[in-house]
Amino acid sequence: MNSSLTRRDFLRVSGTALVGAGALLTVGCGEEGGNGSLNLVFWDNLFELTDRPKSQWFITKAIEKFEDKYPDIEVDRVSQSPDITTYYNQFRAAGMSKQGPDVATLFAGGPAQSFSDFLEPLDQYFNSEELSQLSGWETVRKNFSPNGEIIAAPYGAGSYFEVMYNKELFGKAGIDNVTPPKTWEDFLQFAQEIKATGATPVVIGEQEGYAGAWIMATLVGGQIGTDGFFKMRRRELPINDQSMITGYENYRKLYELGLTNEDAGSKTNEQGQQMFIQGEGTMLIQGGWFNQPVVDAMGDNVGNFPIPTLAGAPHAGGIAGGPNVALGVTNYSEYKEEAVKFIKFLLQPEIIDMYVNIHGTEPSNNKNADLNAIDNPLLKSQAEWLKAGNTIYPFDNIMPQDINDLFYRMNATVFTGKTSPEAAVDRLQQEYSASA
Amino acid sequence: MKAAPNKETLKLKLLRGDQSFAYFAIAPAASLILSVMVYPIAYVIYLSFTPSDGIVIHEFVGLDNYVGLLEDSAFWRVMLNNLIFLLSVPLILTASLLCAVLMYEGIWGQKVFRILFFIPSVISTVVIGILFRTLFAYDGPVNRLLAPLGVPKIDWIASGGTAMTVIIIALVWGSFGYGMLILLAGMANIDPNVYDAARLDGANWFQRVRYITLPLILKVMGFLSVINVIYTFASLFGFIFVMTSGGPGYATTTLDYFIYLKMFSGSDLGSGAALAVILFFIIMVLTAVQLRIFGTGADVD
Repeated sequence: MNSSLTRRDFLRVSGTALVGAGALLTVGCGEEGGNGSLNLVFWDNLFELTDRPKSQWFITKAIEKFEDKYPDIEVDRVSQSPDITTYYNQFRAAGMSKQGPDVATLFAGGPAQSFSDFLEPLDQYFNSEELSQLSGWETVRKNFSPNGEIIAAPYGAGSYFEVMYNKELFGKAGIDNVTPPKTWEDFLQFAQEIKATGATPVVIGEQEGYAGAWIMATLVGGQIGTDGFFKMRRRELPINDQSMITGYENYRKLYELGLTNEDAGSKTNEQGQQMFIQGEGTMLIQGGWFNQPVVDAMGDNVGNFPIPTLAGAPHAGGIAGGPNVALGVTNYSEYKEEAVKFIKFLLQPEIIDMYVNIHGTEPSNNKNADLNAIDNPLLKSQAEWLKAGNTIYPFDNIMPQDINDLFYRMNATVFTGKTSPEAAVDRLQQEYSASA
Repeated sequence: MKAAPNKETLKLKLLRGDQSFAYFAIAPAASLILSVMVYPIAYVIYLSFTPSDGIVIHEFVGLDNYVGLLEDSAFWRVMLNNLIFLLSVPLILTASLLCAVLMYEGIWGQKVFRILFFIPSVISTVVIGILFRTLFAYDGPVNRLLAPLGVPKIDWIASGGTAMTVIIIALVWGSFGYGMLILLAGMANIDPNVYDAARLDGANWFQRVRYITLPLILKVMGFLSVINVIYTFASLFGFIFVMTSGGPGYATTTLDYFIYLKMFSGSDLGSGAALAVILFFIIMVLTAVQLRIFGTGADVD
């Protein structure tokens, strides 16, 4: 009797629980109602500024301006993870189910390439005049082919790698007027002269191998140009090419010659940045993303010059770096025309200038950019270099993520002499061949 | 008119009812186990036979992922690393045993020491990692302590061998307190009369430990060894992530960290899943071997 009652109770409770669970699941699938205007869904993982109120963000202001201009279009900005892997998986999953955004921010280069199956080719929407107004298209062409379809629009001129220096420490080392070394060899000589004064020439945290990626982009890119890296991606040029070996041989001289802090191999990049801010070394090899923090911390006491290329390199004077941000339209969007309209609005010179001014991380990629929009002195000088010099799109912006990961590891071990340049490039080539 | 059911039929009906109810009652637990344990494991095994990136599952490729791993020099390097990290197990067992015996003998201040020794076990792996990274930094306290002895500064984390040494020290420091408590619990089950009898027979401290304590806690030691071996293979991720990121190169990369790299950095879920399956079998074999060793040994009366 008791058993029968218990069973019934059990069934009753289970039934209620199942109904409850079902109801809870249904709640998660609701849809947002519209207000009559067309809703563009915009996935953004790159424009968020966590240290400021949302009203001060560039993207908030840009969307407001767009909606003022086009009152029949409402942009629903959906904040997404800046973590490349998380976003990568979400975007792919959304693409598979065709339930993703109309417009999305993407990492230009290799990551955008991996999304090409879900992106609308933009060639038909941009005329030649519009294309000529912007730089960076080569980074968003399918398979990096010069005639490949445009899969996204590059946004901003990108982060460029640089040598930052401490003006006060340079003064103490007897360097009052900085003449940037023109070649890597000159740079090493320059660093040795600083070392002779008792200062640490370059502070570096190379445990992760990031600085190696920036230096290699310049040293190898100076020899083979961006096209050489694209050829590597397309497997037309092996990664164990002599240019890579030469690049590694010269990169590791920094450590071999004792021109860095002795613990460079075990310090992280972030620790290297802190050491520079604290005045533990005269120079730091970094990129545009550190412009704002370093100026905030050191004010006018910091200057910069480009990482020099190797003497006699065919692409001598090339500035390594390039577009990080791209904007794409999904090929399953119902509102492709409106999505392109939104992207074109964001690409207007004054809107990019606003982005440059608020973010302070990269110059504009629009030819009609207003250089006065740049407040950050380091970014200002970077913008000047870009006007004068050729750019080199880095190896790790072009290659797949697993190769990049191995590349960073190899950098760190080559730097400290644990791996030879030849062994490192052979390992990279072997890994890339295996993934064919 | 329907005939009244006989006693046997009623019993059978009740039994059947009870059986159905029993199945129904275990259904939630069973479905939970099936959905959160059996299904994921089966899915990982399935993934290991495909070149999946996690979103698109491509065609079945048989053992290609496994063959690819076995041909990868990085895989063998990582396996070797894990074997080296196994050195931490006897160190943890020795430190745990030593402390447990001292606590059991009731040394002066044992209550305070018991708490102090256990504290590392409740500290996050990340914190321990950062702590040891700082201690062994180039300008850190360890190098400063060694300097007066004429030892030149060592960049501990920059070299594979020294970085591994630091990780092993951190691992032992973080684990021995837990081991000590487990062994103490095992010792609490030993009949004190055995020790009294041994004392009467003239056994000294070492002999009591060697001939009474150790044999009687051998099974507990076995348990401790098993969980530490599993930990060494499957849970070093936190230490590696914080202290060395698996570098320099792959010099301190462990199997669990390699799985992470394959799956999340390289989006190669197929190879990552194959690695996870290999890791699963390695742990299974090592556990079986240990259980056999300690199980037989524990029969000593």
